[in-house]
Amino acid sequence: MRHLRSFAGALGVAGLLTSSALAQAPVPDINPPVANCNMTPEAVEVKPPPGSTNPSTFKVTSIIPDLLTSGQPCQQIVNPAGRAGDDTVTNRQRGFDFYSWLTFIAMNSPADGKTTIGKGPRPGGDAMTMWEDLKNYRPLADVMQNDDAKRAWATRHVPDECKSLDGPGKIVFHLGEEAFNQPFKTGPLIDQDGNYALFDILMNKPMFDFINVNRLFSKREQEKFDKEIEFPSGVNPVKDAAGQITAPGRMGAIMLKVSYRILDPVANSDLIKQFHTSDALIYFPGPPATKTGPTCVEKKLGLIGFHVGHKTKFAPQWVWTSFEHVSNVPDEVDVREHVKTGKPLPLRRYNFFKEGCKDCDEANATPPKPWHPPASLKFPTSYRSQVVRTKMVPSHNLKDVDQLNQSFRKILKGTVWENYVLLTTQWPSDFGGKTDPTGAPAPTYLANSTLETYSQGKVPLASSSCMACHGNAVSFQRRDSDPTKFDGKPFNQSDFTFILEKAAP
Amino acid sequence: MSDFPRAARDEDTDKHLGEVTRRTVITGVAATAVAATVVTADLPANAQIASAVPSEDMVLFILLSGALTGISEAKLATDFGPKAKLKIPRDQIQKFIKELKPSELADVSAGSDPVGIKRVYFDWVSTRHPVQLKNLLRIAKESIGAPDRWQTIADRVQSSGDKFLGRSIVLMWYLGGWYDPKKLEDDKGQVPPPAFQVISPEAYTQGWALKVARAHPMGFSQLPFGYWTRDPAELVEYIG
Repeated sequence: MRHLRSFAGALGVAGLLTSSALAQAPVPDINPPVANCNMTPEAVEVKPPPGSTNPSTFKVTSIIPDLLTSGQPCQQIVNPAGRAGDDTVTNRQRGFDFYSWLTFIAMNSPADGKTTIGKGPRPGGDAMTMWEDLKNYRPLADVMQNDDAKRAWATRHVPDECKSLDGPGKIVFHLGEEAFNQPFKTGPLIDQDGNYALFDILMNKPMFDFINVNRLFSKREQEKFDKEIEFPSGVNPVKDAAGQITAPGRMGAIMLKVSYRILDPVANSDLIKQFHTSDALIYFPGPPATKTGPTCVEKKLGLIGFHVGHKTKFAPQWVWTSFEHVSNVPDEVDVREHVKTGKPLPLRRYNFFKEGCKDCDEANATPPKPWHPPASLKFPTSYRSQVVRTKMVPSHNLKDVDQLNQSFRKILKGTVWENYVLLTTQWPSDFGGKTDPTGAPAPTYLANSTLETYSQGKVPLASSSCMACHGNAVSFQRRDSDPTKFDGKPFNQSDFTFILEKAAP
Repeated sequence: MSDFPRAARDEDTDKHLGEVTRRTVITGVAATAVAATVVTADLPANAQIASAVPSEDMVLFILLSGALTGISEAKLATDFGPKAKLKIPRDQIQKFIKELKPSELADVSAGSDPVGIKRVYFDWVSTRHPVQLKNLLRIAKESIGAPDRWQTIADRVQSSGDKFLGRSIVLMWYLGGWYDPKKLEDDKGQVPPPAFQVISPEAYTQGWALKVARAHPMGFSQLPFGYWTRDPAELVEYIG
């Protein structure tokens, strides 16, 4: 609809479309039906026969290769009852973690929509993923801008400086501060080869459409927006007793944050088949976004971190999934044991840790300033980040996740994807609570060693928690402070996303 | 344990990632064996997570704490109430807890929540005063079925030899800090008050004094930006 308006205006032929026709142009279905929501549960309750006093049992879903093509969940399927007895949090946690793995597999499946994950043409069965295809996900830089044409879904825009480097299958990566400096400007992450780690944020079509239709890509438009900012929710199909669908499933809003390390095709040739890789055109727009530029460089990027935020029914605070590459960093516990007893670390080489480093700062310290990546994306000194993974998730959660990782990595063995592990899933354990709008996050803390490197821990509010942090995200909406006018909903809240703060003027 | 069979790699690759399979030895041997079992076996629904605290003791601790603090048990411990197998409707749970009968004690779940502060507090008290805590838990157990359980517990604790432990427990829930019962007993109301220990960062954030005030501790709030422009939730939402 907006393309029609701008087109008509540009050509001065507004009379081609009458004002009444424009006024009646249908608003797109922001959250359209999805035909194939994956409804595989983590476990199925098996009730005893009628009259029996035996308790229910729970049959765990077998993790077999069929799951690799079972599709993406539209909503979590969890049960407060389960193998953990009355520990309803653990029972539900297992369901959420299983949902996270299904989501990861579906989103990282090849973009052609036909090939099974891990069966792609590249080394390690790699291929362009569903989320890298502009038909499915759009990068933040392409959305939060005023240019209607450039914002249009599924369009690809190559900056002039990148055109000579362009080629099939390359992704365009816009460098801004968020692309190399971690949240709240806590600092960049420098790998063992001296390269900056890079970060990108993307969103799916329902999320994009909500922003686009409501014109929330612009600060001025946000200020005028007088409705609640509520992104659409994912929901499973509803079936009647006969198994007929009475309400279709819908995917809801999904936002994605990824982290990459740079891989040199020659120096890191041994690593290429251990990572999902992308050939990227890294665009430096120049001041004020980047000190360097405007310029463009080509780099091969290896995926090292993968965050998904999915808004679903019964999770209005969203569901937060986080994966990492196994070779990112060692666990703090392993490092302490290694130092104390000499026990070898699990790996000999890590992306962001060097065993036996004599001149490294203490673990998880931020690099020295200045932080202005040059076109080479190399840190100007010999500094290398020395990072460990801090224990912040309860031990029994970690054990469960480890079991799940073992099983899913087994069906992905021999592919690049066997090298990725789920950290855990954070979800609202009390989504309707009136005293805690963050929904009592479970687990309380969650951090990815490449995306929240410097806020790992268990210090309330200071340490990373997806929902606690995102619960403070706001928009530029001007809202009346009279609570009766907005049904008591929080003031200028942005529904758990910082994306709206990145709006164009 | 079976290793993950993998394509032939050169030595450098093995150095970088081959050892990921050795890592699995740390967690994977037992985990893989359990996973294999889990895939094929049906497990009973009441297979509990291993815990050093008997579930009845935790339930009694919450019943005791509810009576001493005046805060609903279901607020002190999320999901405290009848076990799922009883299939009691949500709107009947408060009534079930209030009118709990001695024969129903085994059917009460202490609940579960991500912070788990009740376990922190239970462990803190039982480590320091195991015998006295057992006395107070016995009072709570014997009071189940009384017409006014809360008042019965409060009266019996007040007249027992362990009343100052009862006071320590109240202060623990409200302030997230530990006032030793002996120091409370010796305190004659002088200034400064007895010294206390902050139990943990979570205890600080979970302290009920500020929740009852419908506020939040300094440096910690779960409320979103702009919350100060509107009234807080009703008191009943906080304390039940």
